[in-house]
Amino acid sequence: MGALWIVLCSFGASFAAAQGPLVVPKTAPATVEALMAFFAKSRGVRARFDEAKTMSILARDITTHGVLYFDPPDRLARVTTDPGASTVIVRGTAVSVEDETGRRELDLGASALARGLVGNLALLLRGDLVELETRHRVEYVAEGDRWRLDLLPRDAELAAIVDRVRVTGVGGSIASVETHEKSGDQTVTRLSDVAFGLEFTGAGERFFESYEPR
Amino acid sequence: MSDRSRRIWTLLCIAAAGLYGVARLELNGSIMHFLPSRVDAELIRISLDLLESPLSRRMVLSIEGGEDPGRVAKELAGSLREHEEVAWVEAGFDPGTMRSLYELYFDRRVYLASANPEVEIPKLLASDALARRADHLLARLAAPDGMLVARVAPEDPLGLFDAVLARVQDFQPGASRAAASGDPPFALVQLGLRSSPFDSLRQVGLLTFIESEFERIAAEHGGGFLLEQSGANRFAVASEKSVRGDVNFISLVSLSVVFGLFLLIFHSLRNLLIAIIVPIGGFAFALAASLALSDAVHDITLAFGFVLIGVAIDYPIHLMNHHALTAGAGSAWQAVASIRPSLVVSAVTTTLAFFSLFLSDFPGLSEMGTFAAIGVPIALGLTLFCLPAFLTRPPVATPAQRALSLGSVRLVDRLSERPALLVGVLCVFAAIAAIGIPRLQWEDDPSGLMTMDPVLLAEARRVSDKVGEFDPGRFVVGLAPDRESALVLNERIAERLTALVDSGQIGGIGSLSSFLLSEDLQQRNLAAFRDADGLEASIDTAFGAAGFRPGAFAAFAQSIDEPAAPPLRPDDLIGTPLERALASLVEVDGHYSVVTLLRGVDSGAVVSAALEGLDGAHYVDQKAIMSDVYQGYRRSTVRMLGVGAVVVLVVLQLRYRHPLRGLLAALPAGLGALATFGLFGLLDSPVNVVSAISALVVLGMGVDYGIFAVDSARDHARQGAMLTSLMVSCLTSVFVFGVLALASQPVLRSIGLTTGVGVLLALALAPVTLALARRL
Repeated sequence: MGALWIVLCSFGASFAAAQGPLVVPKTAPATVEALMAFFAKSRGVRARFDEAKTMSILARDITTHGVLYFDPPDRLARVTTDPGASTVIVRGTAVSVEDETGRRELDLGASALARGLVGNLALLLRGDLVELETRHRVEYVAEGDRWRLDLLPRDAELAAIVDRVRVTGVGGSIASVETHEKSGDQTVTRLSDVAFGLEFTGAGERFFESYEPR
Repeated sequence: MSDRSRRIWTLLCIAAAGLYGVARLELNGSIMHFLPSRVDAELIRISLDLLESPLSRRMVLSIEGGEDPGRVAKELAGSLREHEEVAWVEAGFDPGTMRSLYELYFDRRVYLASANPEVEIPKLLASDALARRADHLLARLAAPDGMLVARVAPEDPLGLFDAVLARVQDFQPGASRAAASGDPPFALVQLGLRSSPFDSLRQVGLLTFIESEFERIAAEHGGGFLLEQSGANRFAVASEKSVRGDVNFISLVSLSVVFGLFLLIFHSLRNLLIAIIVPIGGFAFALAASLALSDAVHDITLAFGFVLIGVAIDYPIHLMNHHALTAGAGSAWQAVASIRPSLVVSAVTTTLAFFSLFLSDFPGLSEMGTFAAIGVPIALGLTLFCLPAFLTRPPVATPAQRALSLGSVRLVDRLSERPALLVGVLCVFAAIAAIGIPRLQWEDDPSGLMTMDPVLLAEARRVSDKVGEFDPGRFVVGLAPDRESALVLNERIAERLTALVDSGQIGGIGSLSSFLLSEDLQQRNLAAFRDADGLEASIDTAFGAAGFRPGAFAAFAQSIDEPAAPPLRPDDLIGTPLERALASLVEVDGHYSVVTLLRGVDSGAVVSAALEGLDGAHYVDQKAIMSDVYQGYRRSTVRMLGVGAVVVLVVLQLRYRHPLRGLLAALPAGLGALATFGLFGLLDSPVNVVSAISALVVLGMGVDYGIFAVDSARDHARQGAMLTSLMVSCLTSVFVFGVLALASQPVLRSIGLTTGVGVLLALALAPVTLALARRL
């Protein structure tokens, strides 16, 4: 765990080289196009996450905590700090997972289902509305400073499992990502300390490179 | 028939044979052509069969560099799937593969849980193991793809399907290197070939397609990518290219040398064109006959066919020299009649020597023998019955002919006056043979007969390292009376070899047991789960403590009681991405053999020792086996050489009905061949089975010199013409075979070196033979 924090600290320090400040809207963008346009120019993103999974086979929810990093256009890191330490790096369709049991490589290209589940957040954060609408029916509602984006899968295989993915936010920031399954299972990921406009240089870049899938 | 009609019909027949040959010409470049065709031992047969089995019908492509080698690999794989020569393509798991594996294995996961179920399944179901498994499952559910895990967890809390998938994935290209660090990223494409990798005509199209498609796709992705390939087909294509180069080189130089010598001696382009009719006719008819007898002719047979030019042009040389140099020879028809007995005996002995190749167990050598044994009689027939029709002008001896004739006769005259010198020459030859032959080094490694491009070899090794390729030519074969027994034996082999892998004595194994277990073992797996007391309760207790709901895994318990599918059988793999794994389970004459591939074997003895006591399990080292096979054939060929010599001696005794004359006629051939091998022994020049077979050619050609020498001994007027003919014939042969000795393919080099040296030594013995024959 100590080593992980050292990595995270040096990783965080690399953001100091980020380019000029990005103005994050205080009010909810009026349209999904406006929301996605903001995300498209928001460059790198970092956020703390607290995730709760409710599953029918579980007597109690699984909760995890950690930090998410997004480096456009398609690199996403999910560093879990509790319980246990693990890192998931997504680059396009290639996924690298490292935890106490070792490191393994996955290919999202081998499963439309896995691609649908894991790839949505990267699509959203790079503001790729075209691809998002190709994969989902998109419903956007903005009220005051809050907004809600519902993604209803078009892929039949995914739609048989996932009822909808709901992303909520305040102003230009993301507050939560909820995945509701047909079975009643659901995953709620709450984001906090969301920082936009970052660039991954130095340790940050090396961090992603060290997980470059082969 | 008039001379004019005879000329026209001769040229028309040769043209027709040539056109037939060109129209039907199909070349074969298979290495199998130079492997024995009749092999009794089952292991050796399996070893040979594997050379062209689906296990060897594959290629691996490695792509590295650039922005995204993985994407280039996937697009290249997509293009390759459309190519007619490609049977299958793999570039990682695609959705179709995953679905197939799920359908094949998920409902059978319980059957495939363990190779040792009575021991491992109770351990798997122990409370502490279940507790660890529950924690692991919890961690998997917490991951971003946890939703997928949750779908199958109720039916598979122990991760049995994941374990099967992991075994399958271990076979994916590059799996052994997936965790390596510090290497540039690379992506692999693996593909299967529909045709034999040695069918170079088909393979050259595929290899060109791969190169062009890679260049196109790489350019679309910004360039900077490096493609490296491995596959037996690359060597076959390179080998054919090399042989074609040899053929062009040999034919060009052979023809040039023969033409040059002819112009030098006869000063006549017309005579040259007339003389060349004989070898061209022999070649055209031999090619046509060979193609009529089989679908294709091997590249090396074609190259060997050009050797006929050197052999068959001897006959017109004899005719023209006798026509020009023998006083009172009269017309060409009369000249040919005067040397007909010598020509016929020469051609018969040469044909018999070549025909002995036909009896070889090597299809390639047999084909060469057929080719030559057809070509030589045709050349004789053309010389006897057609060529005089072309020699209508009065003969004029050229100064070169006269000088050679006079000089050679004087040499023989001097030799005849010095019997001690004659004996001395024979003693020198005999001493070379006696001292050198015991020192001969025989090379029995068949791979030495064909050259492999070192650049391609290095590239193939780099790719093999990336893939973690299994050792070529080293494997374990299990032989059993039926399929189920073969699978049971295969499991025992895998168990023994896995112990070697675990102890680091070998690098790894590729066993069918990763994909398919015997029905017996599958049933034992199911029984082991059923024998576990209170399975559902144990799982509930262990998983409940980790936070799972009681009864969440009832579906798993139900799959034990009532499996959703019967045990997996070999036929179930047909039509799935794993179908090609069945290539390692082969039916041979009602028996089954199952092959386990090996990686990183330093000592075959270690593997053999591990298999001790396992009936039907054998460690196979193809290279060692092939060396043994070739050693056996080399010995039998040397015996055949002895038989050939006896046959020639018998023919000569029948011809001369005088023991000493018969022996003298055989002297240049016999002593020449022995001295040739003696010389190789003294010079530490290794020889092989092809050298032994080439000695038969020396025997056949050398005996011609003896026959002409003995036949002309009593006719002083003919001796000048005969010796001139022998010298010109020998020089053409030596140059032609000398050119073969410069070929890049060792098989052609061996033929050229042995035959060139042998013929030269036989020529050196011809004047000695004539001088001795004069004394009889």
